[in-house]
Amino acid sequence: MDALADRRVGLGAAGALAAAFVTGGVALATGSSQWTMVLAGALLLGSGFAVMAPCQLQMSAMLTHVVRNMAARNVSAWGAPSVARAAGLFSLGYLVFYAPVAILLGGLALLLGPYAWMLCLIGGVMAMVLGLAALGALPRSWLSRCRGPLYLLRSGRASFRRPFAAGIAFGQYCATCCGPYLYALLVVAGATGAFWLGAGLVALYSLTMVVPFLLPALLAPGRYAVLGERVQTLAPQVNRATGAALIAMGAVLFPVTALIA
Amino acid sequence: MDLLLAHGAMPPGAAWHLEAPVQMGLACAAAGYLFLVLRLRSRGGAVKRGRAWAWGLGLASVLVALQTPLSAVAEGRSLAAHMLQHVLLMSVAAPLLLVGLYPRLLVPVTRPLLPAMLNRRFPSALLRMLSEPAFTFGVWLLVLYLWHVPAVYGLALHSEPWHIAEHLSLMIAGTLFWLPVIDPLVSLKRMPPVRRILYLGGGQVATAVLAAVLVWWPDVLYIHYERANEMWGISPQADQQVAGALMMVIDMIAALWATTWIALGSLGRAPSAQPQAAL
Repeated sequence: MDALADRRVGLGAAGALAAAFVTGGVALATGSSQWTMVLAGALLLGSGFAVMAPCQLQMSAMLTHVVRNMAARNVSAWGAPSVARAAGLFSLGYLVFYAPVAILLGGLALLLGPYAWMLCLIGGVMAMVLGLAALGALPRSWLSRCRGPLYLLRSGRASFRRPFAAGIAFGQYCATCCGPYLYALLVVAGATGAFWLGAGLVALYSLTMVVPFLLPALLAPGRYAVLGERVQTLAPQVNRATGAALIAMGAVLFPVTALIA
Repeated sequence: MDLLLAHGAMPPGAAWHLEAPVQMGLACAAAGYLFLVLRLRSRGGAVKRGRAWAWGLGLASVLVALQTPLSAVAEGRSLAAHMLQHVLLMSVAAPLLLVGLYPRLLVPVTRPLLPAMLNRRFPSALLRMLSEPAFTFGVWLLVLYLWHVPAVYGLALHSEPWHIAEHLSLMIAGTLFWLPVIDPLVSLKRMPPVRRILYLGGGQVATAVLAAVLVWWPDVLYIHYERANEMWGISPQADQQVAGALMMVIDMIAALWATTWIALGSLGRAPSAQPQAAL
């Protein structure tokens, strides 16, 4: 069953790679600057779901994990209102973290000017290496220093007793994976001469990550507590999906780099 | 007649767009749901409060999209407002209304209708077609792209019947798109969770292409808004970019929300439990 799932993930990643190169090739062949920017933007926006869905699931899985642990420790105050409040503060921390990230990435893109595409290329290579390592195609030791949600929980940085700080910590974790994607989004937006558009897209990215996580936590917090016991069974699939998403993102960043270079 | 001229005399902030057919439709939908809830309760069934909230929010989304000043601004002055109207109908109201429905609630409707439909050739074929994700996706894609061709878009802006047809078809297409994802009736061809997430991903790719055209196209695509007065100092070009970003973000939020609930919902369902909607 796992082998079949891995084969499907591999086929999906290969398909994404092929589609990205074909689209990039078509855009370069047409030579139209209008369509070049539209295709680069479409590639980035279209891959957004693949980049964000695994992160979103990790955020939700982490919340259920925390709720389960709190329930196991019999923390009496940890009822449904506490879940909603903690999720709200967690989301606020996540959003606050992304404001300086948007400014930093935007500043970097402006500083590099016509050579901004080089960082997109490096980001693409990094994403593919991380993705291959996550799928087990590279030695596991490559990821030994990679600090995922479990590290955040165990080290206490993502303790929901301090949900605002946990949101900032999770934002940092997300930014290492999604950083190259966000940077490329800023560069493509910046290429149209609209820096506000790039910064706005990064801000909207963080908002898009937070709202689907926050809504169920606010509207149906009890559900998270019920699901807590089973959520760990989802972890291997989410890890594989994250690996595939990183490869797909790397694959998308190559033609995007070619289009904006 | 140009709708811009029709609404031009009114300041957009004051132009509540009250239309009796829409209000009647919404009132009937609310009353029908209330009837089904009361009937279920009278027979000892468990009424799902969250689902009722979803139905109410779905109706409220339609109300906001079609009956508030947003409608006048959308028709007269801002593509971004018009896009907000469209995504409210397709990506907010449609899934919320479907989440509001569940098999036990719909028994009074499905029990007399479904067996009779399944025993007849044409209705049975229609049901099977509506259960086919490739069909629902195809209709949604066709409707979405067709209405955003500048000439067709302009037609809807300058003719009230075409405008009504536009909103109605977008609402129906949105409902069809979300049908296999939410599956309120347990359809004939039920998709497993992973396939439903991939289906949502496909929808995001399709939306992304349209959104990218709006965000990165260097000219104003819809001439109607180029002639309209600038609102809040936003140029028609920036308005178009905001429209594309709005479309992408609201669609993405809906898709990610659905993904979370599909994944967690599939975990939350006990193996022996009756099949039911995942959301």
